[in-house]
Amino acid sequence: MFGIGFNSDNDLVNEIKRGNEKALVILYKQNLGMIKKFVLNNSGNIEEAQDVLQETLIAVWQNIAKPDFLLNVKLSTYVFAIAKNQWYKQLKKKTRFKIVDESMSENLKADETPLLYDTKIISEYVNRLDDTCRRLLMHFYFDGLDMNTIAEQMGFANSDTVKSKKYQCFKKLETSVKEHFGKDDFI
Amino acid sequence: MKNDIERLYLIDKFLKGELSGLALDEFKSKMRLIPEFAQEVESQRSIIEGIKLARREQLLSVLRGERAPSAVIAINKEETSTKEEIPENTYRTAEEPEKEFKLKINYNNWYFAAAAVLFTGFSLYFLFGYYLPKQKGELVKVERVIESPIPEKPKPSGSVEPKVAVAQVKTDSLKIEKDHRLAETTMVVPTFETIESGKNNGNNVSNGNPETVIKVGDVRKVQGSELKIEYWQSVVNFKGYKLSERRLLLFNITPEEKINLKSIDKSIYLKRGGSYFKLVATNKFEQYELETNPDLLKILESN
Repeated sequence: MFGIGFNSDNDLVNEIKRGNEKALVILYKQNLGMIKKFVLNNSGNIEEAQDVLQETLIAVWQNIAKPDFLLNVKLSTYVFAIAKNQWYKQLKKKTRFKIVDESMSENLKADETPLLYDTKIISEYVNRLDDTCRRLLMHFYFDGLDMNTIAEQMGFANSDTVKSKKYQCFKKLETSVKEHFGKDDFI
Repeated sequence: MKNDIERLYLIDKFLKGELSGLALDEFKSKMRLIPEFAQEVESQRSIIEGIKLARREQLLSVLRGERAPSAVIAINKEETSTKEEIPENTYRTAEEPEKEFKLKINYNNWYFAAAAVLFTGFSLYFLFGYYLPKQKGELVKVERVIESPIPEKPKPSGSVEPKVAVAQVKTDSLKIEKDHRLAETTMVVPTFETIESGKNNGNNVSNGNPETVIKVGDVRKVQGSELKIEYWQSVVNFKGYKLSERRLLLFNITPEEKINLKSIDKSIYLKRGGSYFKLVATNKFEQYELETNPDLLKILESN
């Protein structure tokens, strides 16, 4: 399934929808040259170009995971548009740089409500979970896979089993987190 | 337990923005009225953000080449059930290539079965329809080396190798039989020339080389030439001869049998049992050819 010939936009989108990380790597290789050229022409360097593309592809991954995602343009065009926005955001943070093309710049949104716990610490506890729990929670909350898809990909009997297992995993993580922070030790 | 699962599911929907209308109003109202519930929602939001951060870092590490990309592949679906306790490690990832991509022959594939049938068919055909019959029944040509019971004399240059006779022998026995030379002798062959019209028979001297020319009817006798005659016993019952310039191999004729040789105009005729056979010096194995020309037979008989 995932070998030679896996390069069309539809194939890539479908594989990302399935949570296949290899699709992300292919997308990175396909777009690196174009993004590098753009960033270098706009006051950036190669390392920044790589960072921008990585951040871009994470955003692309999350967007594709959304149920209402529809690709109306070439995937490379879509990636490039998001990468430009990402780079303009970075340039705006570095106020000493002047943006060459401001038409695509995007206003930064105000931060949302502060979180109860430090997500960095929570992420460490996520990584300490067993493989099944970690993947299940990541697929559900980040990759946007529905219960049926997770059941199919991870070999669970049905979506109800996934739902039940997800609850167990979540509670396991929650317990670890609460033990770490203490009952009233909120940030 | 079921209520807990449903509550978690409901908070997920709220945090994803999937609640609307009355359900959303009820949810918000509950948050306002029950602080513990509101805190539970916030706690869940934080944990979900932590999960997202962990996944994000995981994907970034893949893009940075710090971690191999993996694709989730389901296995042993039957082992997972609707029970509360689900066995761990019920799936594996592409990070275990030696297990994941292990080749398994699926005998249910019709094309595999067809290929197997064709392969078997061709194999059987080759074995039983071609190879074995060829091994068993085919006659192969074997060049036989003639062993002479008589010590051979040194051969004059340009002499013909007397041995090569080809027989067909079944390879089952792989026993090579050889022709036998029965005897050999040397004979002076009486030689005659026909007299051309207009020429006289008187002193026939040619280029200063005197030859004894004797007129006999319409042919004249000239000096005969020596011919080595060998009698051979053929294992394949070959009936014929092989004639070269100075050597005659006779097959199917015994040394005891009375034969006579005459040469007329460079052709040699073998007399055997009252019949004449013309022998041609082709240096090949030839069949005895009965001479039927009455004029020639008359000349042969009268000289």
